[in-house]
Amino acid sequence: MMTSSLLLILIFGLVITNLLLCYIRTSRSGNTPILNCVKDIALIYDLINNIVDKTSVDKVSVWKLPHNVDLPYMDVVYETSGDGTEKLVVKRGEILLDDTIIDKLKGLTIGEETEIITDKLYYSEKGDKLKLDKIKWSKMRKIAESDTALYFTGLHFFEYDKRMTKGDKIRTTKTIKKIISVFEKHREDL
Amino acid sequence: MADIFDNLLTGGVGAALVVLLGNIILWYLANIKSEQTGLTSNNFEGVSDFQETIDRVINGTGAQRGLMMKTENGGGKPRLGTHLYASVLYEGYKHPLNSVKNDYQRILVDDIYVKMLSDIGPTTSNKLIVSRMKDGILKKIYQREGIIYSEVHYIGETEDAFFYISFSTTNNDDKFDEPNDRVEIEIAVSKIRRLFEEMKHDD
Repeated sequence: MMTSSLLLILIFGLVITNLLLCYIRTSRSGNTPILNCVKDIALIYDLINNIVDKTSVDKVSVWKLPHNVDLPYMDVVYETSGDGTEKLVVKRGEILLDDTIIDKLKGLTIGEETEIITDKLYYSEKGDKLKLDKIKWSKMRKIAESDTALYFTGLHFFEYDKRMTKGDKIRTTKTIKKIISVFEKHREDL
Repeated sequence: MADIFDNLLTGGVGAALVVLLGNIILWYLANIKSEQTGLTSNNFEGVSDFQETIDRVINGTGAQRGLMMKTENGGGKPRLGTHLYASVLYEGYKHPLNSVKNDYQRILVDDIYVKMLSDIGPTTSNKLIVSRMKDGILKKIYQREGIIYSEVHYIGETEDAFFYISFSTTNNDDKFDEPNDRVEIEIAVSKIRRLFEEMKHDD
């Protein structure tokens, strides 16, 4: 008698949990109001600008590396303003990555970081290959992955020998964790 | 043994009923969702009521330009990790300002612009004194035309775009604080929001 009652409770428990999960998924997927999305984009801008304001990092950007493209191009979706560099965002879809960098980026797990020498990167303009302005090296950290693309934050430095202090590392890691959580919130819409 | 089978049977029927009820709820929610996704920003273009309302503000207040605008992704729903573009849908203007509708189409917005948008909502407008704004595309646009003050009001959103209206002036110290100006602007914003919602429901 007791076994069957427990079984009953278990069945009901499972069914109700599944229904609740389905409900939450249905109500969240694709239904995020645009205003909330705009507010979260503004939050990301705040977070990346905050890194430049409070650490030795010269520039911060968020990169999107699409899965299904034949050419190894990446898209800069957000970047800090007022950092004295040309805007990478306007070069969207045109920044060329070499194979070594692509392999490095694709090998990362969410939250993991790698260093790349950014002066090997180019953008194309009217058929010319032009070097990225000022940026010498970058710390790239994977922040999200969707069916269509990988997303990274880039902490950029204008000098080869410029390094972050321990305090800067803690601050940037903490801030990037917040960025990861914002992307995680929108995971189904990425 | 018979008790166990009875209980299992009862449990099974109960579970089936709960699953059925759950499916009905999910079907209902999916239905609502598909109705919402049918709306696009294109439904709101070409409606003269919006134009008349903007013109009334321009003719009856200190506002020298009114722009009804939308911000969208490149055709799809604005999402994290995509670029946002702003376009003018309707405009009203008077001397010394000129038409900008053809110039301001699909302008890639920057962080300051996104911040400006994020600060507006159904109950909050954003009042911008150009000289105090941070450098960015919005400030450059305002400065190019000599605009001193602008206020931006939330209108609404569809599945693929965010709509808002701005009223601007090149006159020093005019923040549309005259009672008549304020009432005209508030009436216009309410009317445009109402028209917008009606069109959403009629769609």
